[in-house]
Amino acid sequence: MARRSKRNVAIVATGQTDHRSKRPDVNIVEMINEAVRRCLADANLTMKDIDAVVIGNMEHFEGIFFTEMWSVDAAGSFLKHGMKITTGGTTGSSLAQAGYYHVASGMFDTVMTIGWEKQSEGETTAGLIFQADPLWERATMSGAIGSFAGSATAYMHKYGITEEQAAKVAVKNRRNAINNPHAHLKMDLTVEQVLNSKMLAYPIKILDMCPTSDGACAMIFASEQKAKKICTNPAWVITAVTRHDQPFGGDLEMVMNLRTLRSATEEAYRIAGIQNPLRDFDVAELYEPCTFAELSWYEATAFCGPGEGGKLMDSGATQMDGELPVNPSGGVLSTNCIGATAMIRVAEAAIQVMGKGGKRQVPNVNRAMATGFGGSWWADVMILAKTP
Amino acid sequence: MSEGDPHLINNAMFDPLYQRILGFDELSTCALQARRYLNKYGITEEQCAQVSVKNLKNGKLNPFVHRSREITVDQVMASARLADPIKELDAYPVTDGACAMILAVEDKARKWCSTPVWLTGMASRLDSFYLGDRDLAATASLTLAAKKAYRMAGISDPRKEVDLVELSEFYSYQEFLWLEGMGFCRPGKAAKMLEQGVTALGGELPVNPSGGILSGNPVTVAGAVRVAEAALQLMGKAGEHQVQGAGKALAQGHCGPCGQGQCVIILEKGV
Repeated sequence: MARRSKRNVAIVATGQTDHRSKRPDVNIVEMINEAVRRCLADANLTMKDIDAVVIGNMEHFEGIFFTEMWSVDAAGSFLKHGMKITTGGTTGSSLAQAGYYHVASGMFDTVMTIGWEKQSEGETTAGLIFQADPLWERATMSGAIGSFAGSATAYMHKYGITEEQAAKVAVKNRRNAINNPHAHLKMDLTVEQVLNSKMLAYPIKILDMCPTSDGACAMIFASEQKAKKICTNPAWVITAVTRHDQPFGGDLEMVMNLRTLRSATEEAYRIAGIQNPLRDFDVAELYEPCTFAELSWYEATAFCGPGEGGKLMDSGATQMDGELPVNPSGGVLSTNCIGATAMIRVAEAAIQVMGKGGKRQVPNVNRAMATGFGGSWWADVMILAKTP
Repeated sequence: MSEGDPHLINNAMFDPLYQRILGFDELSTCALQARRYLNKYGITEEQCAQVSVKNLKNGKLNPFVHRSREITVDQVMASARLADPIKELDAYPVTDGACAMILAVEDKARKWCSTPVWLTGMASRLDSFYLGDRDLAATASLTLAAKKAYRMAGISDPRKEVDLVELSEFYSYQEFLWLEGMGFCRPGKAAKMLEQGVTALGGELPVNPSGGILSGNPVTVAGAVRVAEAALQLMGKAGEHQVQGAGKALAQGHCGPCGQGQCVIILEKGV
């Protein structure tokens, strides 16, 4: 069982690259350095102020191992405590949790976390297939799209969710992205355009899927004493919870029913005293790898009841002007630099709490939630607030 | 390890633009480090061979290792030359294996275990990535990590206060280099410590009583095994390779080219 840390921890700075499908102007370590410099500038700090660096990506996507070693100069971790985290899609949220734990433990006061991926220089689907069991599943493992196609079909069948409802997620998130200077896909779409886009694997069309992006994100976690010195309006970490599921497809609930997210949010809500998430949160950044996933995650996070994800989307509650704006950043459907993706959720939630969201700012954010998704249907949850 | 290709995987730790094309792997870069270390301090290959002789002999007392036997310096010297000056018996064997440990908070630890081992010092540091940015016979990250760990554990003279060391000697020369880097003797003097019997199983400061990595190296597990072995010693559960009366142990692990990333952990009995 997780519990609240005895030591208060806050996010005091974030930095992101401007994410693109290809960044031929920089190599991997230069791209990492861009996010690190932006993050330090955000809090007016230098690397001298940082005690430890936790960095991560999915090593076999680019085929470079020990990436925490190559990136030492760029990450500023030379002669500092450094650690690498690599947990698939949840890498970024695992990194954020590690940053939180590093400070909460009392071992460090200021910790930088860095997530990155340069998908244009790798082969992500090959990497994804490698994670499948070599004896039972690798021969039929199809990567992300095939896996979502099967579960989205089952989800539609079980609850009567429609392709139109899913398409609305693509329209919402990519319109939100127009207001986010860092987002990769900024598009003013219609539901029809999404429905008529190229079919990848039924019911997933190309505009239902997240893109492949190059990008990096960095954040700084600090102890209460340091946070108050560094930042006038830090985002306090209230709790972080992670859940893993079984490795084999046949052992999972393939109805887009993310039981790990349900279990993680139940525990996180208990710790944070959340009674009614739709009302109690002011903004949420959900890791939605495809449109159908966001609808289903509404259910897993108890924003609505089972099977009501489509209805919640139809109601407009998760739009920028709705009761609980979801993914004002544009979400994963707009930007997906894998090792950074889940950290961007946390960073964007922190940006909202700190009131630094610019055109994508939701008014008066007191409490925000960020989630991570990946691995074998794993989930991470982090709750942030304006007061510790 | 038996289901992978160590050369291919090690080669992929070098950056794809400048170094990977040279065919570097752990062995070839550590050979450069070994040569630099031997030259700088006038250490001989025969002295390094004594590390293999000691550790493989210790390994005979450890049921978990897979390459252990009585060997001689001559046998090490006559074994196949892999990358000068590293020979087959100076290098870790390919090993399959896993290791697990349970860490617990004080009240649980005391409830579950009559001889819990306490973590009293821990630090890790990263050195430069590019080999040319470092003196390969120096150990900046290891020395810093050790100093920090000693400070946390309240150790002022490691040579006197630490009772045993489990370190990650992927190649025999590393046992010397790491011991010196952690301040157990002056630079270039670790071979002498071994020759005097200080680091032997019955010596004043046993180093790798388990047989070390030269007796078996499930690569990414190697560092964990060092911590587990140090814990077994302090719990009094090390069986035939038990060091008598040990109260403080040090475990060391490293990662990246030529020990770029270094981690030092201090464990103590009954604090």
